[in-house]
Amino acid sequence: MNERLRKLLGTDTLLPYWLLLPTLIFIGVFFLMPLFKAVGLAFYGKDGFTLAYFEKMISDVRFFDALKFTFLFAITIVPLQVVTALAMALLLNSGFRGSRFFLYIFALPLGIADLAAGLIWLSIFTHRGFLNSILYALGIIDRPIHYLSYQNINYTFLSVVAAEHWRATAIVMVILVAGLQMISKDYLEAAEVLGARGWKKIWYVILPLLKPSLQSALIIRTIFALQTFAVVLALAGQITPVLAGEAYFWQFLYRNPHVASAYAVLLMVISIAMTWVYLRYLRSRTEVIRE
Amino acid sequence: MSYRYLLRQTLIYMAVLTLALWVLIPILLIGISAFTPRQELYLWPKSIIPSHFSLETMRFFLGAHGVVRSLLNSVKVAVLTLTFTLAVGAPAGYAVARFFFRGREAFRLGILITRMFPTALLAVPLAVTFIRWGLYDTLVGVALIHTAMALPFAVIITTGIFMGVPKDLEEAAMTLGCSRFGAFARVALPLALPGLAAAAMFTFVISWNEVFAAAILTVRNRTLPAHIITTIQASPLDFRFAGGFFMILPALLFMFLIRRYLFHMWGGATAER
Amino acid sequence: MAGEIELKGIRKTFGKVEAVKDLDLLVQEAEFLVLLGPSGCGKTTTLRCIAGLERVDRGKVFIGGRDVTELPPAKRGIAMVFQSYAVFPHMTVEKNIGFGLRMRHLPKEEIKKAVREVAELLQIDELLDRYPSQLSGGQRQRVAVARALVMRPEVLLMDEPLSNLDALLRLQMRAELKRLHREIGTTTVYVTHDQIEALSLGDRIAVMREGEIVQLDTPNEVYDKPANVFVGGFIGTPPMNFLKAKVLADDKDVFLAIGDFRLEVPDVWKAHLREMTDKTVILGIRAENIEVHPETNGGRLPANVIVAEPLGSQQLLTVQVGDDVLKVATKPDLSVQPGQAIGLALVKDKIRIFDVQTGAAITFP
Repeated sequence: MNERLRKLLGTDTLLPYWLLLPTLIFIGVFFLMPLFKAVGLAFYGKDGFTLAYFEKMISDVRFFDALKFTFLFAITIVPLQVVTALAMALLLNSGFRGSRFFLYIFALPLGIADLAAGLIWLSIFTHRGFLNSILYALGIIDRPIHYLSYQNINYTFLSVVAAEHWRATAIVMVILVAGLQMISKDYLEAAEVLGARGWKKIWYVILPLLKPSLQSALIIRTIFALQTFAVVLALAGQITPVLAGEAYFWQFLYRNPHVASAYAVLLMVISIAMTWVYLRYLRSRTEVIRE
Repeated sequence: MSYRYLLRQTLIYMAVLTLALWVLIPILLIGISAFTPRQELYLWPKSIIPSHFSLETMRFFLGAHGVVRSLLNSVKVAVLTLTFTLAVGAPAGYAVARFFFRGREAFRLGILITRMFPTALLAVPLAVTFIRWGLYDTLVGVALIHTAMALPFAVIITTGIFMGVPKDLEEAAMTLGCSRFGAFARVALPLALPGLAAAAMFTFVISWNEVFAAAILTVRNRTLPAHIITTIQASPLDFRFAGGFFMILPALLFMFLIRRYLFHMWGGATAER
Repeated sequence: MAGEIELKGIRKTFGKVEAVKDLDLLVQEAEFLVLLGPSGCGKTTTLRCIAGLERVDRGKVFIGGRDVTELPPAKRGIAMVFQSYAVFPHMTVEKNIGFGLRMRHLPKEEIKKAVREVAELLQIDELLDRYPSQLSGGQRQRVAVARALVMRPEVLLMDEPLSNLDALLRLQMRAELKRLHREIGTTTVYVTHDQIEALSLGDRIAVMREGEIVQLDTPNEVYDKPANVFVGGFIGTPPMNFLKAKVLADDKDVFLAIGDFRLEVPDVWKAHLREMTDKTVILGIRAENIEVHPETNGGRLPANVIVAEPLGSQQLLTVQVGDDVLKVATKPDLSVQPGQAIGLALVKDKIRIFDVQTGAAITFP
C-alpha cells in the first residue's frame, strides 16, 4: 500500500476528525448559519439589500437610550466585579482555615440565572421591599422610596448594577482563583526573599502574573455584560432599555426579525470590537506561567 | 503568635465574612419572600421576618396558569440539552484531549470564539429558521439552541476531564486485549464518569437558567424562565418572588454537588488560551 | 521461533519529525534486548511500534514469525509495562492483574489461580484486595509487571519501568527483573535511557540515536568497543575520554602522536595504520584504562591535575592534556593535588580510534 494513503487511513489519523464531526456540524448549523442568516435578515428585505432596518433601529426612540445604558452598565459593572473578585481571590489565596468553604459560598451565584437574580433583587428594591423596610426600621425614611421608577432613574440604574454585580462576580472570582493557583509558588517565595511583602507583593508580583487570567475574565465579563437583559427586565422593565432587550422586544412583541437581527449584529460587532481592544491593550508579556 | 498575625487573621476573617454575607443574604431574602404570607408582602411598614411562614405564596405560584407545565418543560428541555450536549461535545473533548491532529489548535480557538456569540445572534435568526423546520415552539427546538450555547463549555470541560485520565491507562488496556473502544469503555469512561456527571449538571443549569432564546422560540411550550419573563409585567410580586425562588433551587443544588469541578468549568479559561 | 521479533525497515514520522528511520532489528527468542538512547532517540516509538500502539508508516513487524503489522495491540501476543505503570485506579490489585485474562474470557477460577501465582512470584499476594491509591510506587510497579506476566505473552515490552522509582528501589527491582527473566524466559524488549540499567540487564543492547540503531551488541562489546564516538560518550560513567591524535609513521614504527607525546599502538594495527599516515583521528580511552604515575618521565603522557574527586571505591581525577580534558579513575588512596603534574599510561589494548569526520570507530580485522 502507498505510504501516504496508509498513513491517512490509519485509525489514529482519521479518528479524531470523526469525533469532532458532530461538534463541527453543530457549530455549522447553530452558529455559522444563524450568523449569516442574521446578517441576511438585517441587510436584506423583500427588495434586496437595504439599510432600512438599521435606519429603523436607529430612529427608534429607545435606541440611543439602549446604547447608552448598555455601555453604562458594562463600564460600571465590569470594573466593580473585577475589583470585588480580585479581593475575594486574594483573600482566599491567603490560605486561612476554611478558605475552601468560603470559596464555595462565593461561587454560589454562578448557578443563579440572570432572571432569578433580577427577581431576588426585586424583593429588595421594590418599593415595599427589604431595603425600604430596613431603612424605615432604622428610622432613616418614613415613606418608601420608589427606586424602580422613571422618576428615580439613577436609583433604577444602580439597582440593576447591584444585582448584576452580585450575580456575576463569581465567574470572575473563579477565573482569578484558578489563575492564582497557576502562579508558581517559586515566584512568590522569590519575591519574599527579595523583600516584597503585603501590598508590594500583590502589586509587583501577583498582579502582573495574573494578567492572562484578568484578561480573559475581562473579555468574558464584558461580552456578557453587553448582553445584560433579564436582570434589567426583571428590575427595571423598560425604564433603562438595553440593546439585548430591544432585540428581544423587536422579535417577541413587534414580530420584526429584521430589526431584531440588526440589534443582534450590532451586539456582535460591539463584542468583537471590545475583545479586540482588550487583546490589543492588555497583551500580557508573561505569556504562560504555570507550574 | 504575634499581635500582628492575629490582627491580620481577624481582618481577613472580617472581610471574608462580609463578602459571604453579601452573597448569602439576597438568597436568604428571596427564600423569606417566597414563604411570606401574600398580604404581608404588600404591607407598609413591612417587617423583615414575616409573622409566620406560609406556603400560600408557593401554592399560588404553582397553581397559577401554565406554571407547572412550564416547570415540566424546563426539566424536559434541560434533560434533552444535557443529552445532546454530551453526545455531541464529549467525543470532541475526548479527541482534543487524546490526539494531536492537524487543526487541533484551530478547533480549540473556534470553540472559544463561539462562546462569545451573543445569544440574540443565535436566537433571532433561528426563530425564523425553526418555523420553516417545524421546530418553532417545540421543546426539541429550545433544547437544540441550548445545546449550541452549552456546547463550547461542554467541549472545554470534557477536554479537561479526559486529559485527567492518563492515555497510558487506555493503552495498557489495549495491550491487555481491549479494542480501542473497549479500552475507552472499560477504563477511560469509568474514570471520567464523575467529571462527566458534573459536566451534565452544569449543562442542565445552563439550560434551566436560559431565558432569551427560550422566550423567543416558544409560544405555548414555555420553559419556566420564559414563562416568567413573558408574563412578568402582568404578574403580582408574590408570583415573581416565588418564581425566582423556584428558579434558583435546583441550580444551587447542582452547583453544590459539582463544587469540586468548578475549576474545570471556568478555571480553564486561561489555560485554554 | 515463538517469541522472536523482527522489524523490517520500519519508519514512523510525527508531522515532520522522523522518530524512527527505516529500522531493522531481530530479537532472538528468550532474549533480553535493551533499547538504549537519550530522550527523543526513537526508542520508545520503536517499542510502541512493536506493541501496535503506533502504526508504522512503512515496513513490517513480525512477532513469532507472524506478520503483525496491521494487527491491533490486543492481537499481537504482547504484554507491556508502562513507565507510569498505568495501573487502573478504579480496580483492585486482583482485578488489575486479572484484567487481561478477563478480556480473554477465561473461567473465573482459572483467572483467580493465575493471578495468585503471579502475585506470589512478585511478592504482592498480600495486596490483592487493595486499590492502587493504597500502594507505594514500588508496589504499583510490581502490579504492572504482574499484570503483564500473567498474560504469558510471547513478548514482554517494558518502557522505562524503573525510572519512576527511587535509587535504592531501582537497584532492587533491577535485580528482580533479571531474576524474573531468567525464570520465565520470555523475549523481552526493554527501553531505557539509563546506561547502567542497560549494561546490567541486557543480553544485547541496541544503542539508538535519532531514530537509528547505531550499535547492537552485548553489553561488554558496547562498553569496550563502542561503534562510534556517540556510543562511547553515552555509555559509561564517566563517559569515554576523547582526544585528538595524529597518525605518524617512520621507517621502523607506526604510532599516534598526542602533542609531542608518542603513543604506542597494538601491533596488529600497525600495518593498517601506516596507510593513514599523517591523518588526524580521535583517540578514545576509558577512565579506568589509564594508569597514573606521580612522575612525569619520558614514557608517559604528561598531564595536569585539575580536580581530584574521591568516590569511595575509586578516585576520579580530572586532568588536562594539551587542550583536552580527561577523566581518570585511580585507586582511592593515591595522593595527588590539584595543579600537580602527573604522567599517564594508556592501556594499549583498550585504545579505540575514531574517524574525525564521521565519529565512526576505525577497526582493523
